[in-house]
Amino acid sequence: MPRKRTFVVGLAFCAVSAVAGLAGDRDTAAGLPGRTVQKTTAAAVAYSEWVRKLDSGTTVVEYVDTRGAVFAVTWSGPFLPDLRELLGPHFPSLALQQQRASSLHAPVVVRTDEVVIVSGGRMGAFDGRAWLPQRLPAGFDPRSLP
Amino acid sequence: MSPGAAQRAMRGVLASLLCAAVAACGGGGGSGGGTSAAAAPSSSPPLAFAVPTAASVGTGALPAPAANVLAVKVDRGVRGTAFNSPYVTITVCTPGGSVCRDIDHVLLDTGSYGLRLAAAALPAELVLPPLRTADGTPTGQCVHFASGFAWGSVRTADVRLGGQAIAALPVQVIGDTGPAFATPPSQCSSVGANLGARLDANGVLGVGMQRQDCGTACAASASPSIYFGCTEAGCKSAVAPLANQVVNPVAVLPAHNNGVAVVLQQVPAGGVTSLAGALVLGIGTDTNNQLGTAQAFGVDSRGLLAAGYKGHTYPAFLDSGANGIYLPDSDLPSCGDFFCPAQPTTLGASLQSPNGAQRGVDLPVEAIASLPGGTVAASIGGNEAGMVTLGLPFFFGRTVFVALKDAPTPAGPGPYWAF
Repeated sequence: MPRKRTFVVGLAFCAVSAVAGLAGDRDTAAGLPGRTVQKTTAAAVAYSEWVRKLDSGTTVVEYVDTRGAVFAVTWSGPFLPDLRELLGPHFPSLALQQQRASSLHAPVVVRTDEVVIVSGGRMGAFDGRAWLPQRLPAGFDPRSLP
Repeated sequence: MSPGAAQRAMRGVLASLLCAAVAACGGGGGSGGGTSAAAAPSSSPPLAFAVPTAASVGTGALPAPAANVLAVKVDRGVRGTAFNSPYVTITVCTPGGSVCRDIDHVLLDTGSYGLRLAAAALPAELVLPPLRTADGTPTGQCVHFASGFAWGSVRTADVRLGGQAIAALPVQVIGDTGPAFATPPSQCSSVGANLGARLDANGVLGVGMQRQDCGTACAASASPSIYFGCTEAGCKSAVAPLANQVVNPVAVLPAHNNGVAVVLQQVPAGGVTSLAGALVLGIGTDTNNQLGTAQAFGVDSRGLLAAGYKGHTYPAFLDSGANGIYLPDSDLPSCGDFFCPAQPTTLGASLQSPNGAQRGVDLPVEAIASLPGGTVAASIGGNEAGMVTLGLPFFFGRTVFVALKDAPTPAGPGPYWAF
């Protein structure tokens, strides 16, 4: 996938300290594909949203705190994104919960002290979000995730 | 077990379904009063159904047998883990029709498009030839579902739905054991867990609004990584022209090809141990599929309606492949991933179409833990952030029409829902 190659090169150039994805570190998204939007929480704490539209047409957003740590991710679009990359160390929790799914399209919800993952939708229209409850910037309401 | 301990999610429910199926859970727990909000340790025992009581069955008239009618049955599936899952029986033949076999327990799904068959459910004599990509390699496919991915080959079959025959239909064979398909490619396994081994069905009949399972995105580019060219050396993402994609069988029926009506009997509080329904092919094409007073709800570009619920508006979808009413409501008590109100309760939502149609709908919800053993269908639901999924309980006691995209119908062209 050409996109992936660009991405890796971008990471190297920017000397990002670790793998991307939830709980990973992303010192900066500058120079990477997509756009970065600066935001502040209700408690006036700064964070940024790194928004990418994948070749598949699905949009993914990584929420990055001022230390460069990804504390939330969302996805929306016709196909699931690479959730192994996007959820990072929490991907196995999603996969495990999927194995317990009670029907084809029932939303899959992981809810632990460490991570919350909600993945739903069906063919052509998927939506999901995940966040780290203990690592949210002050004043960030996960209910505000699209 | 106490309902207070009744925790957990799907895992618990699945385990409980199994447990109830073998009547091993006994103990008339599950009074349905579970209101515990605290997370229990993952080792907590699964939910259990209450002690079996007198059987209750669905009520309501169903269409008479006809060439455009398939019987629908809601039961425990082929593994005994299914709940609120509607199944039909279809006939699958080798191209040309020399060998034909009925395949039962094919999940009727308004949330997907195309026919998928579990390799394990296909008898050896039913040899289906592979569909090939432009460079001649056999086609592989990775289809995404919320519950995981379905990986397999794309093959050609003659298929009969009721009295309607389709020749040379591209279908997915999930879990194809051919050497070229032995291992899902990484682009597939990176979206979740493999659904193939735990699908509680012999197949999925996707009769939603779209004509193909991917459409122009996969015809223009290999990047969605839905279609692959596969050899024993591995699989590579491939472009798939529309004609080579897994197609919604309804769209290629010789007649009655503008959509379907899904008819299910009514389910009272307490659930039922037997539930029947019908899949009627066509909309307004025969006396048994007239729209009558049904109101059409056109959908947006993503195939979605809007639903107003408790002062907020969310995207909404009618989905026979989801087994509950899922909506954003963290006020209702949950036991794991399902609501467990102390008493059966009725939620109210307002469905809205981008074309202006609007209607309030009542959504009954009860606690799964209070259902009698042997229950196959009941009005259950769960919390889903940011989305309203009107799963099978929405279809209870209704006739729901699904109009195919761009297909002419008496209420105008699809895509729309009508009920």
